[in-house]
Amino acid sequence: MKITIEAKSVDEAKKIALAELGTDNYHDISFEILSEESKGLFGFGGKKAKITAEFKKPYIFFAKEFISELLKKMGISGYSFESYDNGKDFNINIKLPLEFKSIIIGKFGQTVSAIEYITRIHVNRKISEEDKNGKYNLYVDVENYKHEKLQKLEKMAESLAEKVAISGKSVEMKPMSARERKIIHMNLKNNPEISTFSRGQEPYRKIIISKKK
Amino acid sequence: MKNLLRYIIEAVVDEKEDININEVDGEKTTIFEVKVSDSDVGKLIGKKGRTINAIRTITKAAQNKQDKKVMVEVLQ
Repeated sequence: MKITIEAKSVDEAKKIALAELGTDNYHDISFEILSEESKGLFGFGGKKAKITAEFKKPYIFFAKEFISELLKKMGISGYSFESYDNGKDFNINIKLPLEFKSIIIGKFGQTVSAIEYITRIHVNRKISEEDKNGKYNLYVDVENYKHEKLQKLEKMAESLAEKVAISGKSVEMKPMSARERKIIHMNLKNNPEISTFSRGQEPYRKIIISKKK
Repeated sequence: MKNLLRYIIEAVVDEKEDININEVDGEKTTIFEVKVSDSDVGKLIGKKGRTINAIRTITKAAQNKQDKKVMVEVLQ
């Protein structure tokens, strides 16, 4: 989404661009100055300034906007956001006061997953087709809950893999979400002694670690 | 609560003017009957009910502090 603005001065054009894109933070937007204003003689022949403006990170901006309004409507205050990305995976971490943390995470991270899901739909619809440059992933986390959970699972999978390699008996892990399973499959892929696969139906699909024959 | 529900539903459907939410207050539960235009029902429910279940999860979480239960129903 790139817009072009003409105004009397560059500063004014920037202000208009911000209003039009619906933000008040200069850091969200990248500007390009096409031509600066020139006064001209006695008010004649003056040229207007022309700039283009677009979001630096539209995915993150729209997601933050949506989530903050959602939290407000849920009666939650005092939140802030942290975001980081590697060009393809966009991560948003919601920071909350302690009293609200458990509400937003929910049972086994249910609520944060629901928020993530709805946010994805919203952002996908907000960004028009031509602006989508390829595949991207949007992840929403609360106080690094999912991140820590993943790290725990990774450690567990590793120790289980060692056990399996020694004993030769297959081990079942508890049911996990698709993303968690994917990461564990990827982590154990390089281990020459064991193989992993998933079995069962969602949401009870689980990983089986077994020894390679 | 109604506001929250409307906000979430607006994020998933096309015909925002056709959203109709009716609040039925019971003794222990509050039921929200949601009506959207026919073309949007599929979007509201989602694959295997994923979207409507996510909406239910969020409304339940928002209700957390009160002792009344909330239910979200889709009318056709």
